[in-house]
Amino acid sequence: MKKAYMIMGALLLSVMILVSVSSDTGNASAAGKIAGFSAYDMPNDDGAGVILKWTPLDKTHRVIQYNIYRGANPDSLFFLTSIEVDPKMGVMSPNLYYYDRGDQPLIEFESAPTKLKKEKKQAANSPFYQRVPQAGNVVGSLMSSYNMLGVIKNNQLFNRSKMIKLADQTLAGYKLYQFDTVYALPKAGTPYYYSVIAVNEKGNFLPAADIQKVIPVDNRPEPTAVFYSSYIKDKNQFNFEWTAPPSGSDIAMWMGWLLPKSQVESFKQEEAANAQLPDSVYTASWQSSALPLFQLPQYYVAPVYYHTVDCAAEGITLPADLENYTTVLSYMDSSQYQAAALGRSFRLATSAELPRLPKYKVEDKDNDKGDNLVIALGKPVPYVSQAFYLNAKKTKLRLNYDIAKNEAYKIKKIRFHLKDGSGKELGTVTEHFVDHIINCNLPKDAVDTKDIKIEISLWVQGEPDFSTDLTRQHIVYDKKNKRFAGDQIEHNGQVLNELFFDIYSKSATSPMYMQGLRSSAIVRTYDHSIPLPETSFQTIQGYDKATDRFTMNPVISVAADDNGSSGLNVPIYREAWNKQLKDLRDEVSALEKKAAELGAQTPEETTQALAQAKADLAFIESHPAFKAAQAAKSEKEWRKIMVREYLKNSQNYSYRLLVTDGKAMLTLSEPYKNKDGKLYMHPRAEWFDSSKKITLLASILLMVLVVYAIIITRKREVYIRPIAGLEEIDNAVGRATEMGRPVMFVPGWGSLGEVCTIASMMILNQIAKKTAEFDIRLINPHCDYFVMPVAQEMVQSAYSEAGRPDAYDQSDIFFISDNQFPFCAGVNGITIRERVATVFYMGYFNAEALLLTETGNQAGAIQIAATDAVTQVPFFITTCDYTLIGEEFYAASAYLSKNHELVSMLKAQDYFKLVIVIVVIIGALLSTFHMNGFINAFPIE
Amino acid sequence: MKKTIPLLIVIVGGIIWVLWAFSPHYLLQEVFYNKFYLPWSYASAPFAMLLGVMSLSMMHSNKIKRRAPKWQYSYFFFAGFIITALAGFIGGTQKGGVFMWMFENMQMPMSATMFSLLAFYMASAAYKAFRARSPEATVLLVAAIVVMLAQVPLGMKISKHLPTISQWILDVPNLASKRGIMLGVGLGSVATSLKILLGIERSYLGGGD
Repeated sequence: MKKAYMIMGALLLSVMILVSVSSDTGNASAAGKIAGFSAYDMPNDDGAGVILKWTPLDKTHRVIQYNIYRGANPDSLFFLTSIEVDPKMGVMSPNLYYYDRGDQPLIEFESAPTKLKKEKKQAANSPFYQRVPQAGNVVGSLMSSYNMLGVIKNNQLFNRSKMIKLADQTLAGYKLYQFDTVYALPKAGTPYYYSVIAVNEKGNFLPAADIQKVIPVDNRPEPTAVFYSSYIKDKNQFNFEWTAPPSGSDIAMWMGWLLPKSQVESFKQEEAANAQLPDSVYTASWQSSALPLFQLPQYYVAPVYYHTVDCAAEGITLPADLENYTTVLSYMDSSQYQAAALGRSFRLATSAELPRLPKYKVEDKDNDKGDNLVIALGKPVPYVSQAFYLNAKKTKLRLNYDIAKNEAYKIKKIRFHLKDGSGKELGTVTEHFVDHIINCNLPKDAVDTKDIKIEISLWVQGEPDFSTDLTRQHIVYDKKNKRFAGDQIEHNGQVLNELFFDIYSKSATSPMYMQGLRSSAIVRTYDHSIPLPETSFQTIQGYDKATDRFTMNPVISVAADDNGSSGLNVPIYREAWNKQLKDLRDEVSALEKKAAELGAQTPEETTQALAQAKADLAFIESHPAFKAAQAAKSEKEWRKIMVREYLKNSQNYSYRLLVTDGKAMLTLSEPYKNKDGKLYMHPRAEWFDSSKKITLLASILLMVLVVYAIIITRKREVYIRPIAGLEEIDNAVGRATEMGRPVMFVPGWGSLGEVCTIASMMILNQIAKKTAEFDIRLINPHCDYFVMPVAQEMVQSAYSEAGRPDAYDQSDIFFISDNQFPFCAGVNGITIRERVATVFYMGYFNAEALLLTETGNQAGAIQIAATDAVTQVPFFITTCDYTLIGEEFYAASAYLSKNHELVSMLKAQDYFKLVIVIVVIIGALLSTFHMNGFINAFPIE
Repeated sequence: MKKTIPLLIVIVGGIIWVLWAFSPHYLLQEVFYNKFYLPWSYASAPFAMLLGVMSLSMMHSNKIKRRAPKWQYSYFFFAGFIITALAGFIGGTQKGGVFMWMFENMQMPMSATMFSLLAFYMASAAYKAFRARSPEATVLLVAAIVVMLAQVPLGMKISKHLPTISQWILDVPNLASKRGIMLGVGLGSVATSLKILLGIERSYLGGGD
């Protein structure tokens, strides 16, 4: 009867499972299809952007991600990227969007499949494929549909190419596997096809959204540039500052205008009308009544643009009633589409009102590997971040201060001069050691002061007294928070909170300075990271089917010329370079001949072209790298010289500093030159980390003490303090022998790279000798598979030394898990099952320490622990019989072996401890008397 | 020779690492460490893991062969190992797969269970530690009560000075002893490194000298 029930139950269960599975499959084909999927052109962009929009599935579908597919034809759509979602919560918003601007890699070397693969669980005729494979012919077939960009290592780029000669040019060919990453940017006017598939948490692909076709087009830029301008009357100079509109990366030209205020209304009407017109139609009749101020090509994309126009130099005659004018910024993209934005502010000012530049320095960063320059932006600025009363009577005040520091100045002392809101003196405090806190006793008659004016001055090393550069702050008491809040920071008469620094930089391979390193003016340092260029972004020009290579035209930017010539930019093949050089020489000869023939009648363009070509040739021929490369005997040597010079110059940097109020009141410095008049700074790699001087000295001192201790210990027996835990090892192993139960040694959680693990292995060696001697089993579980073979070797050699190699059992030294709690569970299981009599915990431990030792305690084992993990010491002390604390752990192997040399090490450590105590006392005494040089010499970490 | 060559390898290797610690130069930090050492250590890690897996399998198979106490549990190891490996290799390790399901619903709860045991063990350890059997243990008990009470609002109710006293205990005696231990640990680890570097400690080479 029972059997029958069981069979019926099993049948019922099987039917239920079948039903649920079949209903699930039936639903999967119908449900889960994404609705409302659309793909459309990104507005106001350069034609490389597409927006995808769809309605996310509800949370009952347990979707974990939406896979996005893109293709250049509807028959083959490749996986592009995915958007992960929470399967439990679903997506809260009604729509999901994806902006495809080509920023997702088409191929990544590490993740791309090697051959074309259909997407998982798709029908044979499905158009969906996995990622674009690393197959040259597949990527080559996509070349016509995308603008391809390759990321390639410089070593591959310069040295591993194959020359491909086409009819009109010589190109470099690369196999697909040579690229790290390939990006495919959509092309304006080309049709693309998109779809989205939801994937649920079971890994099932739900039905794909209907494939949508979209043709991205280049649009007119948005008229939303944020534009500020100022006119400096005494300099007859305009300053401009603006940020580009969103999607304004393809703007080719910026133009500034002076527009009568009377025309502003018609400008606005015209711009509103333009917004309704097709992108190709743009009317700007306001320009006829406006005065053009500048035309500036956009050479590079920057977060903020600055420009200065010297009216006298440019020959601009300004109207007398300038206050009746405003400024306009118009701009044009690469497809000649235009837009304009009215200036947000136009200020008439004098040069006295301009923000002042701090005295800045560019220096090599100390103690780095030669890839950083530091720009020290003036002297450090101390400021109060908050203050509060320390007592109920409000007579004791604590000030928390901070310092915007830099490496060029070392602070000796800080002086805080306090006054109340009415100007009454509250006291002066001098800080001798920078700990960011000062306490101040207010005068007895200063009752419940509500606002304090603070003047802070610094005494920096190398100067005779406190600096006259003052930082002023007015802090006001906030009753609610019971705190004085730090107010604006005024430094040398300038409110730093309202100013910004922007650092212009240029490498010796770049023809112009580029801004973009913008920060608040409170910041006093900028670390410019200049690593050696290891990879390059290169435009892929085509695909050569015959060689299965992608063609590019890489150029080595060897050197730029600051005097206006085109610089030294060479192709990677010597043959191509020689041809280029010959063409330039021919051009110079031809132009000279023409100029000689025409004499005084020579057109201006010809004269200019001749001057430019001559300058280009002169720069090239006079460049030392060119001369050295010309003498090279082989192509390889020639390229090596050029690349070496390029690498050197790409780390040579020149700087300018701009200070601005963010609204075109700006001052730009001349290019920085160091005291030797050098324009370019090069980061230097240091061989010795000067911040570790004291560490090195201490190590040398310890070594000297070791030698001294060795000499002493050879002459006479030295005293070592008895360590109870180590004294008991013999007894603990003996107890295990008497009980006939094993000994266990747990080496903790450290890896082989940690000193505590090495120390633990040395103790294991000593304990193994004893277990071999007593002929008792030693179990040694591990959580690190690097430590395990070392332990096996140590134990084996210990057993051999004890004359018991036969007693060694390798399977007693084994790996359990590299996961904390599984390891802990494994060790606990062994403790209980094997009924171990003695357990040694020697090494680094984390939270598992207490779990292990409590189990050992309950199993009645003798436990001896040693660790350098300070947080676990209390747990060991409470649960183990003996615990070695701190350096006792490291002393164990010497203590157990009684080896003279090892014991001398312990003595040396004791001598060194005495040195530390003396140093601490000296430091405490000196700093009490405000002599901080001694303690400042020690590194903080 | 059997000992000289390993000793030389250790000393030369040790000196390289000492140079690496004291020199920020590109050759040591970038060429040696980032471009040579790290890739090699990443490459060797999977092989070492194989060693671990082999060791564990051998240990359990020996247990089964010898019919060691509770040898039946070793079958659980093989079952878990094979099932998890197959789930990972066949189904993948992505969310929604069997592998991740097992991780989330088996390993994570089991680990959490182990971790939660810690609270009970802590209470038991605290009981042992705080028994006022000696003057030292009484000091420990009082200090612990003050620090624990200061962490909860009740402490403030009892006395407004309690948090200050607690902070003083943590900042002065506790920190001083902690720093003392850390100083000893630092010195001990430097001394151990020196012992190996100078060839004073040679127990890892085996032999009695």
